Amino acid sequence: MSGDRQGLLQLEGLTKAFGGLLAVSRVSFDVAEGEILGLLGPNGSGKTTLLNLVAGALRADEGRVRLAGRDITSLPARTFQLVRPLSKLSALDNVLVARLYGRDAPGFTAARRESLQLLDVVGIRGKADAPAAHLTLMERKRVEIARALATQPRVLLLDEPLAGLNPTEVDAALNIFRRIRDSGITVVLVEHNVRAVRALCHRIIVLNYGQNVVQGAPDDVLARPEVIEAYLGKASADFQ
Amino acid sequence: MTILLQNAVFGLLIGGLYGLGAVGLSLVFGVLAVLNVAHGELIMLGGYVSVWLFTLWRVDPFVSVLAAGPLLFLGGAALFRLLFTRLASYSEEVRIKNSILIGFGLALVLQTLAILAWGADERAVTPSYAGRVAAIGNVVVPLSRLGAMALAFLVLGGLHLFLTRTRAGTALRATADDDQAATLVGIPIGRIYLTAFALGSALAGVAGALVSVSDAISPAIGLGWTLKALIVIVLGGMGNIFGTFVAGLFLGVAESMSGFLLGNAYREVVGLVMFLIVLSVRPRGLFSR
Amino acid sequence: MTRIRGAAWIMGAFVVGALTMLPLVTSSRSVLTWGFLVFLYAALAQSWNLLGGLAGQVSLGHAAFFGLGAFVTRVLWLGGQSLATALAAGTAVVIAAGILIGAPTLRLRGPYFAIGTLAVAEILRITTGNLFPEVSTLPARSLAGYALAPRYYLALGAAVVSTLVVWALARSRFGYGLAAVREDEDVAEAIGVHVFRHKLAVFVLSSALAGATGGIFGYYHLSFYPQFVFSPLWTFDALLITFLGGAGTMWGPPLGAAFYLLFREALALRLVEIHLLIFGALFVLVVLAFPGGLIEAWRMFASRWIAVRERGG
Ligand SMILES: Nc1ncnc2c1ncn2[C@@H]1O[C@H](COP(=O)(O)OP(=O)(O)O)[C@@H](O)[C@H]1O
Ligand SMILES: [Mg+2]
Repeated sequence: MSGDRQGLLQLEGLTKAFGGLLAVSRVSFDVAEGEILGLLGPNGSGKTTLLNLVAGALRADEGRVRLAGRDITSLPARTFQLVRPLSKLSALDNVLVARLYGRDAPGFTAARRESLQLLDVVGIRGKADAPAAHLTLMERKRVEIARALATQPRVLLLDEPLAGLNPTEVDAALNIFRRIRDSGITVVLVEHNVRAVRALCHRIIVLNYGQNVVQGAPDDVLARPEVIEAYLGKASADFQ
Repeated sequence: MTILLQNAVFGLLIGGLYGLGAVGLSLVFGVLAVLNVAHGELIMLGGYVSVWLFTLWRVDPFVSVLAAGPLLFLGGAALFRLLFTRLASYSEEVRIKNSILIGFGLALVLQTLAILAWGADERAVTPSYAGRVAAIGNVVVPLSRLGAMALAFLVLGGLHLFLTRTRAGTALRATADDDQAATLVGIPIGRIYLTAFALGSALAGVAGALVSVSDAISPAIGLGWTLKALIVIVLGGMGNIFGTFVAGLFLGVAESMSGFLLGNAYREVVGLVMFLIVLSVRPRGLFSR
Repeated sequence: MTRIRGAAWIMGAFVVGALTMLPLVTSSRSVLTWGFLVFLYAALAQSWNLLGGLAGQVSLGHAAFFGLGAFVTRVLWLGGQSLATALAAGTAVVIAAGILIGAPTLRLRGPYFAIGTLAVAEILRITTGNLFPEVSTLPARSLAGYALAPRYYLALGAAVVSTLVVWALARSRFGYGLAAVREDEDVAEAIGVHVFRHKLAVFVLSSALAGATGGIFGYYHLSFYPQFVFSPLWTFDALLITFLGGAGTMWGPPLGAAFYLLFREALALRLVEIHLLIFGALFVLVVLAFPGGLIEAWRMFASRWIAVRERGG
């Protein structure tokens, strides 16, 4: 992103250490309004920690996060790397509670209607009354995405939303994300699935050892030897 | 001055038992993530073992320890099989919550059973050496309490050796540290859970028998002992035997000093207040990792 | 499902109506006393249900609020205040205590909250016993005019009000927030629920209801030691009844209370010890094997029954 255009989400020198371990180290970048930013990096490179910092679930040791120019604590919505549905609540209620507490929350009836629409967007309206605990992994991920959307966030943080899904499910999920992207919402996407990253993201940032090592357009970044290097091993299968 | 010193000595002597009473609860919680709030009732049962052995056959309470430990070990194993095995499959949070509920009901059952079986009255053992003291300057030291304290110290030392120097003990510590990792390296985790619970109960039994050396036993003493054990754990830190012992001594001294300064009625309150203060400053205990 | 719910409402309204008439048709002491106790326990359990069932915060110190309400109300009432003033003041004191106790203890996570509340309740119990060792007995002039009916109606009112509170909460924004807190505090925070504020609000509400219920008990009971109303047994009864009926449900506590007292009477287990033994074991059994309680069993039965009927018709 060129420096003259101000991003919707701005990270300035974010740093977080766990004991002696520097999980995130002076990471700075901007995310423009409507942009889908891919965040890549090997396991343990600090991606989840970075999302936690941006979401306000962790407090940064140094640096700050600004949304639309203001310091924020917990405005962006997020999904969890390990899905965390509210197990005893129905799929609908999972989304409904988020809608009731989200930005510009409407009254009860309207919130219910909007929640059902969101379940439609992620394709599980048919399971609206099923307790979240009874859903499959894919269905739970859908609930979690709908729940995040229900808060009407300006920025959505997705932590490995495709992990554990089979190829058919990945295709279905990609369709959902395309619809989300086309709705104009700003997204930071952590994902190892390179095909998905290529298909969805406008721009990619690669983290290694908690530092921002490379950034640029998906095709450029994914062609760089040091990125391939970092990924050889575990995720190399995704590089088809 | 002498009277303060005297109170401190009494506090130290009873405090050793507090440490021993707490260490079993701490072990069970550390290994299983089960908070057995009926732990005090197990101590009460250990006390009754000694009371009965003494009443029937004049068995010395220090000898009764040898019966109370194994009996409570078996009883603990049975309780675990009956009540706590199912919990193993739950997440840690649910496990703790349910174990508190189960322990709460179990405490009531054990206490009521004790009342039905032995009546609600206090019972005491009266060995020939009861009331004998050694005088050091102006301070007197009751011999039976000194003996109980020494034995408590020995048991804790033995437990420490068991946990650090034996295979089973190492497996126990590994499970306490990370039960998933323990499973991965081939530790039979179900058996470890059973052992830990039975061992924790046996420690309660030993503590109960030692309590009977110098204090009366009644069905109602359970809740008080559970609370003391919890206070000691919070002060001394989870899974730290030495810390538990020191915290027990500390609680004992604090209680007897405040009993002396504020009146005996407030002995118990002081420990509980300390407990709340520590929790509000360090929600996971003073010396926690 | 709606049909079951509708039926439950009609039945509930009918039962409350009939219970309101009861003192008009009978003046039997034992019947009215029994009714009084069912309502008292239902209200107490419902107040715990609010905190433990809806919000998932297992408190073991509920007796503190029941006891404080009972004690303060009793002292003021016997001191010459009107009953209304005494009850209101008793409840107000409990609300203050709820804030003072809730604010620090609710910051504790997991088991520490349960133990912390238990410790607070024990502190209050022991201190009350130390400061007020004398038994509190109704003076002769009160005994002469003692009537069960007003006690009965007060308890009925408390049971109905606390049940309606649970009903209203369960379908409000706040109630949904509590459900999120109960299931996963991190997720709740992530979707914008202010976890601590929600917990504190429901803690104070639950305490207030327990305190008012205690106040009614203080008005009812002829003679007790102040320490008695702080006994952990009140907490246990509230937990047992809630789990027996179904934690987190609206009908669970009243149903559990009726069952609890019926059982106690029917088996003529007036010996405190034996009934405690049986209920202790029953409680463990319910927690282990039927975490949904009676309500869950009834729902399963009802939906099967409807399914069978629909297939038949
Ligand atoms: N709560 C925590 N406490 C201690 N260390 C942590 C914690 N969370 C993450 N870490 C460490 O920080 C580093 C970055 O982790 P994480 O952000 O999860 O990486 P990623 O999501 O990229 O796989 C890892 O070394 C991890 O072990
Ligand atoms: Mg991660």
